[in-house]
Amino acid sequence: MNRVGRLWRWWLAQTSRRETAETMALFRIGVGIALVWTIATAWISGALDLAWTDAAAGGYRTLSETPTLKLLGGPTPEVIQGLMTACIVSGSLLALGIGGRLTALVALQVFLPLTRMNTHSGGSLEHLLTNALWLLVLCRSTATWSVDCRVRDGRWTSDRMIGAWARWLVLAQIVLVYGTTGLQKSGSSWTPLGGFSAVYFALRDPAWQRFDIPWLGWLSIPLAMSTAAVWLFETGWVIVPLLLWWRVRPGAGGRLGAFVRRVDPRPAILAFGAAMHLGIFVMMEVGTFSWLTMCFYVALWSPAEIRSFVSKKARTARRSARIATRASASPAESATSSQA
Amino acid sequence: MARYWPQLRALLILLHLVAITLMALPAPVGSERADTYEVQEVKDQLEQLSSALERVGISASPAEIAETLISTSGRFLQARRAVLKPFRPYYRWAGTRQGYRMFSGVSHYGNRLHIEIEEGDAWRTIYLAHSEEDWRWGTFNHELSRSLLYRYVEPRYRKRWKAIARWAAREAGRDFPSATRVRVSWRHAPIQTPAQSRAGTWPDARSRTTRTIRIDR
Repeated sequence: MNRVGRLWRWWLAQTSRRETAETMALFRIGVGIALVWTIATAWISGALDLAWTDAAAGGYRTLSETPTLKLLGGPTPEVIQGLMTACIVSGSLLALGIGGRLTALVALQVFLPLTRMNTHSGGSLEHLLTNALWLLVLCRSTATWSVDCRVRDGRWTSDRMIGAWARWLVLAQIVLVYGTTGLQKSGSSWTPLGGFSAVYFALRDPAWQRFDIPWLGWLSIPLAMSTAAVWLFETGWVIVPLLLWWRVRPGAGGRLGAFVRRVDPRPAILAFGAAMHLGIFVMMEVGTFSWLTMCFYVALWSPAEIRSFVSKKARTARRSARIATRASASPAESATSSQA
Repeated sequence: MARYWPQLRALLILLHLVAITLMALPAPVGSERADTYEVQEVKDQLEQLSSALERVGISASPAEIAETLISTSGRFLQARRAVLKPFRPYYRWAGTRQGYRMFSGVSHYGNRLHIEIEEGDAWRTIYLAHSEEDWRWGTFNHELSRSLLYRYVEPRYRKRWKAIARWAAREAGRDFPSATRVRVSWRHAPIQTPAQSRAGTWPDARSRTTRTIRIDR
């Protein structure tokens, strides 16, 4: 067999691998929450009046008519609010795990026109959210930890297997997000030429900051270090799939491979990513982007690892509850015995 | 069909990966337009690049660099469009469009939206970004609004900026019945450098782009 044939057989074997659905279930819950959050805040804040209202209904511009919008009768306030309601309902159903892939497909198709009618009012968040919804259309994410599972199997958990490729596609997507955003950070502020001042200026830019911190200049050295660290972290994501591959392949990857087999890099990746996104969330107004991005991190762990983590935590919680019950029962027991 | 499903699935997964990777690859979108080089931040970057090249013995003025960038990025984007064309329906219907240029060139200039109304002979601020004057604060501070306002500072969106000003005037006219005119401005100012922040000084070069609109009742 030639090289291409061998490569194809290997690819076929990888894409045929199956696993339980805990990772994709967590991803589904996170994405459902992100969709509800995105739409509900646009509605409650009044951003809808500015960004998603057509000129004919008092908006500042004529909104683009996507094929779906045309089919529904154009971007009238009733149609837009109907789509937003459908987003909130389908996002909630997605988080609860009702309706399987169909719910994800509906959520995607009602959200897409909202992202396309005014392309100036969106960006990376909308791209990431629609990609996440499409991945949920492709896989059976309600196989476990869902109302669907409860109805089908009579319990909340299930050992049903789904294609492992779904988790790898989630991982591929987040690698693309970080890798390409890192590679495109070419402005001089991200380099020694601009004194690694990008994080400082991003935090001081009124366009994105939640609040201004005039004394931030006192932190210029740690902020310069964090600029370099953020760039390295984001660009470094392109090797994360390799690290994961080496972890399960004894002998692969040379010294770096041996190192990641000895020391699991995933907790460090999660800790850095969580700290960075928490910082962004607290200091800047970028919508649900931080939350949604963190949802993709679940793909770093296999369902078996998530399952074992959850059952360990559940055992600890049960043990703590037993100890607490005994502790609260003992004073009463001692009081009873002293009365006797 | 079931017999060939694993093969087909492997092919579809591969195509998905190719489609999203091609679209996500860095592309110099915007660099092919001459008006991009009118933006102050871009001018500053070109100046920096020109002096950096000068230091290594390459002489290129900011205008020459801009010209080279316009022509090369134009050719690159044309080739990119041709490569992505077969995948367009997939991006459109499956929502697999990509684009993650986040904080690629961080701005050194801050722009704050300022809205005032005229009541009698006096002007009164009703909204100023990051201040206590917070009329329709929720609307202007949501990520959707910030995305569009961030764009509309650029000269190429002049028409949209005027439309936003008219919209704000209409809304303010409704909420403040005594107002006769509305003034909507961008307050531009360089962001304090770290050294200025430590010294507690503020940059001087401040300017305003203003639209004044009479309220028709």
